[in-house]
Amino acid sequence: MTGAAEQPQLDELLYAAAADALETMFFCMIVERSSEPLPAGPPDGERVGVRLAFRGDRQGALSLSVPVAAATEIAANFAGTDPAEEPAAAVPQALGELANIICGGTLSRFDPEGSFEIDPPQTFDAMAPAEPAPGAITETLLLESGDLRVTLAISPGTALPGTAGTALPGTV
Amino acid sequence: MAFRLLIVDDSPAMRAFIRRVIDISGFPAEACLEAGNGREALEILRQSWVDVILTDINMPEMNGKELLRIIEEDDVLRGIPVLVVSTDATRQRMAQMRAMGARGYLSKPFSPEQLREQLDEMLGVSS
Repeated sequence: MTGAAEQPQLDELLYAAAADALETMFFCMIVERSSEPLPAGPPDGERVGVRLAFRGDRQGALSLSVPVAAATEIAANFAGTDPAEEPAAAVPQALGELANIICGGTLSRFDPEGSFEIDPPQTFDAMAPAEPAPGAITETLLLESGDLRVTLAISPGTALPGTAGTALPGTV
Repeated sequence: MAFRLLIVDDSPAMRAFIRRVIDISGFPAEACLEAGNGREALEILRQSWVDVILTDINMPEMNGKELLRIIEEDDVLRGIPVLVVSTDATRQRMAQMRAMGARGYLSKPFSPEQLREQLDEMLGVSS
């Protein structure tokens, strides 16, 4: 798992990747940022969640959850449609794209010389109480329509076949 | 002159987004064909000519690397410029895809202007 010295940097990289994705491709402005840990127990209001795993020089998982209204707005912005007309089935797909872009952006910033592969995103029950993985970091981004919570757990992995690979700089 | 594009991505949402961004950018697109993976892309390429291919890397059935390899080995298809569009912005991946024959690499997230710039450069379009 990540060491304490590396965590502030990862926080910043995760935030930068999320902000870049939200503003450039999902046309969402971040009103406020918080790196406070998630409150214990189920979050208030109905939320939608997606997560994905990644492997390579680093391995781990990234998950995000967001209230239904904000998820619908994110999906509608991505599709260029009216939120009221956005089909429910399109919402997890758009959130999956967002998670994928945030994950790729964070890993590319974290280790530009590394290699990784990201698995397809999957939905999960964001209402169920869950303990974050040890060492995981969470960024909470307040959007106009609700808070987006992004959690990243990362640890050293194994170089992918067919890639030159990069020596891991010690235990992270 | 207007161009025929083939967008290869397993996400219908991402294909629709790229189509929309191409439209927003003002790029002269005559047609935007779509495929969900490399195999579907090759089926389309057997039947239709396109001027440029935009492809993701990670896809089921046939990924972007395999698609690029087959295109590069084909005497006819080799002439079609390929733009890789991926969340992976590591130097290693970019170098790998360029070495395999990709003419351009665009990492997500990207703006309409960035996509337009890449397409213009690859196709020799002067804005």
